[in-house]
Amino acid sequence: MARPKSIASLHEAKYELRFCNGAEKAERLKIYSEALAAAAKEFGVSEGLLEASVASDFGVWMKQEKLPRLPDQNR
Amino acid sequence: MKETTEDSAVSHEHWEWVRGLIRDIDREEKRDEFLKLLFQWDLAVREFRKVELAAMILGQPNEKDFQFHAICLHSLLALGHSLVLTADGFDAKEFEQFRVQHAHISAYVEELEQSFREWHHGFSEGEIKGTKARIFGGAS
Repeated sequence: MARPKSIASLHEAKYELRFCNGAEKAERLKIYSEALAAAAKEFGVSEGLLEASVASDFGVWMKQEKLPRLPDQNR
Repeated sequence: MKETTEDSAVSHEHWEWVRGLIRDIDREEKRDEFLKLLFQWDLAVREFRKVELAAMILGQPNEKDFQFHAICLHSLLALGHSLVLTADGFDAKEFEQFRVQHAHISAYVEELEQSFREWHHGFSEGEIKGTKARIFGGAS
């Protein structure tokens, strides 16, 4: 599947946001929001529509990246 | 009505001191209650995320998964927003004692909002399909 670089970056930002510790949340959220805005602009869609459209691809990306399955490993 | 006299056995300052003591206890109780709730909520969010990861992200979610996911998110968001409102009532010095920042709690809530937008949006199947095709070239 052809996954654009901006979507891979968005998934990475979301992964970091989801599995970071509490003290990092605000900063990680900012990075995620910026990645989301950039991707939405690239594809000419709203941020909400983009989030909804790539939600199911996040798990595929995680498996491809062989990322940890247990969320509390990095929290 | 009881009879009152001009002279009191205790001064006005004494009464104010007791009132202050009661206020302090009340405040301390509110802080303890807030921290307890925050801790429990954080624990619930972590457990929710584990189940979400297994069912929604790495699994193939069915209709029941979607329903439970939405119900849990609604509850966690309601509690989270309530905690943010309560947190507004504490000052910076108190937050230092809590070892947590107001911004962290808000970010946690916003992250839950993000999950809700992803999975429980109002977009049509056609809109999602069209956007996926635009992003992934129709291969997703």
